[in-house]
Amino acid sequence: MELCSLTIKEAAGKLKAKEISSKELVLSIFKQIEKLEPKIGAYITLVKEKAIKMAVESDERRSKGQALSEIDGIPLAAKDIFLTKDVRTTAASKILEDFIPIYESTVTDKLWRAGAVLVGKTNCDEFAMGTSTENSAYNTASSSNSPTRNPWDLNRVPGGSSGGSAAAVAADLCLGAIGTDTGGSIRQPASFCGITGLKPTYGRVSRRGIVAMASSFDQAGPMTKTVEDAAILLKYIAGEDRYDSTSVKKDVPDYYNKLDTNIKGLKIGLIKEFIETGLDQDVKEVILKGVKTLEGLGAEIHEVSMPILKYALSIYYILMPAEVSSNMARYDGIRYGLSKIKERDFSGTIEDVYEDSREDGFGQEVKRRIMLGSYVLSAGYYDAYYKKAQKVRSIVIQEFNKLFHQYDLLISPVSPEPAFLAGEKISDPLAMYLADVMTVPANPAGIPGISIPAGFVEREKKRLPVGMQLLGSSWSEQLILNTSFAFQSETNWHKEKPIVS
Amino acid sequence: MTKIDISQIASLSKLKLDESEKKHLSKDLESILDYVDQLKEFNVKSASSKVVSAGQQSNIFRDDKVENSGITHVEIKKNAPKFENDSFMVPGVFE
Repeated sequence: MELCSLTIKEAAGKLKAKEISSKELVLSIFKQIEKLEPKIGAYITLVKEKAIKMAVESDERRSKGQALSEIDGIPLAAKDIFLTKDVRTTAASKILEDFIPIYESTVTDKLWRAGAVLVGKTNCDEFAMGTSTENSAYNTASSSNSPTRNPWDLNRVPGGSSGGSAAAVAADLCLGAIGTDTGGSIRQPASFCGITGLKPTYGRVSRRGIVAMASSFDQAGPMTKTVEDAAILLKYIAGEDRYDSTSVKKDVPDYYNKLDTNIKGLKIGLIKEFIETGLDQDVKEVILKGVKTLEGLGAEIHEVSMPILKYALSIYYILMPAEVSSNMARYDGIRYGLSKIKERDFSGTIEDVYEDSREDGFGQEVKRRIMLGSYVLSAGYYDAYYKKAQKVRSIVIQEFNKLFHQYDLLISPVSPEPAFLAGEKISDPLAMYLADVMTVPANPAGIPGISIPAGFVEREKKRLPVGMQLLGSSWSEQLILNTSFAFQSETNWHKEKPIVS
Repeated sequence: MTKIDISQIASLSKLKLDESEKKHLSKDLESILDYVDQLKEFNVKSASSKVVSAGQQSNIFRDDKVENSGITHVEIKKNAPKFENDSFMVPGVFE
C-alpha cells in the first residue's frame, strides 16, 4: 500500500510510532500527483519544495519529541480561495492571476501552526461560484478543455465549487483538504467524488483571509477520506477569531476523541420534499438503503415535510448575488489584481480603469452574479427582491428551528443526481443552479451539514459515488459526526477508491 | 416574463459588456429572475416579518483604536498596479 492512500488518522498513528516520516508521506503524495494530476487537474498551484521543507521541519520536531500536534507532518491541500502568505492565491479567477497574499488566512494559519504541510492550492469555480468547477479560469487537467475531472469517471465533473479539493482527496493527491461551502460547495463535490465533507455552523470557523463570495453564507470545513479525519481537522480549524466578528466565542470540543457510535433512539427526519420529486431513481434507492442502515443502528426515522424548502433556492439566488455584487466591488484594478491602468496610461477616468479591468478579469458566471446582485439591490427592485428574500430567509431559519425541536437530525440526498458530464450544464446557468437545491437550505439557515458516501450508481459502465446528507441544528457538529461515524463503522462505501483510467 | 435594462445594470455593476455578452446575459438574467419570482407568491405575514440572522444575534464591537497590522507599505506595493510615494496612483475621477 502506498503511503498516499492512508487516512489522516492512520498516517498520524504511523508518524507517532515513527514507522514513517513526514518527508516519506509528502514524497508519496507527489509521486501520486506526478502520475494522476495530468488526468485529474485537481491543483492550480503545487508547492513541492515548500512541502518537503515543511515535512523535514516536522520530522526534526518529532525526532526531538516536540511534535506540535497529532497532525504535525500531515500533507493537506487548501482550496485556492484561502489566502496563503507568499503562495499565489487566485480564487480560480484571472483577476487574481498574479496575486501573492501578504497575510495568511486564519484557517490555514491554524493548520500550519499545528504542523500540517501544504501540498498545494486546489482548483475551484471562480470565486467559488459554481457547482462543477467548470467556472474556473484555470484548465489544470492537461488533456481536456474542462478544468478538473472526477476521478471516478474522467468524463464527468468533480462537483463544485470545491471540486479540486474533493478530487484530490478521492485520488490520494493529499491526505485531506479544506474547502468552503456557500450553498453546498463542500458537500456536493464530496458526494460526487465519494468522500466526506463537512460544512460547519456559520460562525464555527473564521472567515478571515478566505476570499469572500457571500459573507453571510460562506463557511470553511474539512474534506476528508473518513468522518474520523473530518473530526480531527475540525478541531484545528474551528474557534473564535478576533479578526472575524461573525466567528463565535464557543468552546471547541475534541470532536475526534468524543466520537461515539451509539445512536440508539436518535430521531431523524427524512426530508419528504427531497425524496418525492426531482430525484434520480438510483440515487433514491441508495439513500433509502442508507436510511435502513441508520435504522438498523437504532435511529428512529420518520418522513418530515418542510414546505418552505420550495423557496430556499429563490432566497439564495437573490441574497447570494446581492452579497457577491458588494464583495466583488473590491476588484477594481487599483490596489491589487489584474489592472488595465497601465494600458490606459492615465487617459480616461478611474471609471474606465474599473470597467476595463473587470471586463477582462471576470468570467461569465461572476459577471452574471454581480449583475443579478446589482439588479435585486437597485432602486425600485430592492423591496420586491432583497427585502422579501431576507424575510423569507428568517422564516426558513424559524422553520428549521421548529423541526429541530422534534428531530435531532434531518436526512436527505446531497444532490438530485450523481456527477454529471463535463459540459452538460455549462450553457444553462439556471439548470446549474437547480443542481444545488438540496444543499442550499443549510446556508441561509447557518446550520451544519455533512455529506458521507452512501453507495454507488452505475452510469455508462462506470460506478459513481452517491452522498447522503445529514443536517443538524446550529452547533450540532458532534452529533452529525457521531451519526456519520456510526454509519461508516457499519458500511464500507467510504473505503472504496476510484481506479483512474 | 421579466424584462431588464441590461446596459443600466452593467453600468451599476461597473462592467463593460460587448454586444454578444449583453445579449446572452440578458437572457440568463431574465430566466433566473423568472425563477426567483416564485417568491412573490409567498405571503409574509406581518407578525413573522422580523429578520432573524443565521449567525450570532448580537453585534460585536471593539474600541475605535488604530492598531498596527504588521503589514507595511513595501508589502502592499508588491501587488499594486501603480504605487508611488507610498500611494496608489489613479487617473482622474472626473473627465
